Amino acid sequence: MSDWGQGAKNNNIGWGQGAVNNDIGWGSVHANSWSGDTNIVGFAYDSDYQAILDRGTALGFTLPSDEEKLLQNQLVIDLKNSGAWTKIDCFYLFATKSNSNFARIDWKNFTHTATLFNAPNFVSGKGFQGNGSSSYIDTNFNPVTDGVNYTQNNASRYIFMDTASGTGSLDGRSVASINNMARTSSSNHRINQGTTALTGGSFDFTATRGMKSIHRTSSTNVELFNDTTQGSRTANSASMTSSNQLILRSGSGYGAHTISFYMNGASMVAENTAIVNAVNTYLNSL
Amino acid sequence: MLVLKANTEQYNALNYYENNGNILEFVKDGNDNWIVGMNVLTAECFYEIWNELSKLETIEFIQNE
Repeated sequence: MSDWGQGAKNNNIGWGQGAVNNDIGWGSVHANSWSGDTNIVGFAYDSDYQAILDRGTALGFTLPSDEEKLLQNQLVIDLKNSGAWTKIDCFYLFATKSNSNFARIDWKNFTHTATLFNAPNFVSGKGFQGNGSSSYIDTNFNPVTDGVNYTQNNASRYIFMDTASGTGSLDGRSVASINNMARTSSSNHRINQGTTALTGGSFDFTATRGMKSIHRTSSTNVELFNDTTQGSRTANSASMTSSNQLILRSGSGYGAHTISFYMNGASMVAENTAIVNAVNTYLNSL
Repeated sequence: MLVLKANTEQYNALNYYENNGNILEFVKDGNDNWIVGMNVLTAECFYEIWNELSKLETIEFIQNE
């Protein structure tokens, strides 16, 4: 019978190889290992995800479980592999099982966190749910002052709705009908176009669950997606309004949906399928 | 849907109460009342002001168009 030292010497499997070959994830190895409390060495999170964890620690927030960290780390890696990560300015992952504080971290901009107005309900593993009358989330992302990739003629907003409730607002600004999406079939979904409606017909955002995104690809063209189903519309761009992007609110209209994910950045039409797949993989693994 | 209505004195005392990234903010309903949702009564972040919140008047929500 071999002890651990002999096993490591005799079985021709190095630590690194073991992780690759044994079909057991790192967390499971740690949990199931005969070595009990022995820490597994040699694993490092993606540097940008580690920075997010460090940000959480600095803010005094409880960090996610090891299992959840691995899933979130993989999400960052998947978004990097898709080419999307460097195009994002503002990124919130509200669907976490850990706690509502960690969910308020902007993964791409550490100068702010999300502010919760009137206590949107935190649903573990799902995100934040509005009340339809007054609660919403302020991303504290102002494209005029915080936008690096998000510019007047090259911009996008993504929102993952886990649970729908009525036709209310998905996002918007404190002033109505600016940079807003709602769970409706409408031509009044907007991105950097003032209050002007889309030309080319309504676009249907009424699906009960999934990713919705709006992209401005030029001074005239707007692309919209329900998950990966695309529609093309037009609307002339206008100077960007200097105010924070809000979730579950547009003017005095409030949504009661449950929101799992939100981000702003450059147009990401080419990366959309990979983004949708990466976020779905994370959400379905929670 | 029921919501909580604040009078001027309650509005001045409670509006923009902040705790750990959470803010209480009264909004206008369709009848020009300052209101918040009933959910604030059970929100842990607002426990410190629960006594004051519990004294707000309960009314039917009218959407602000």
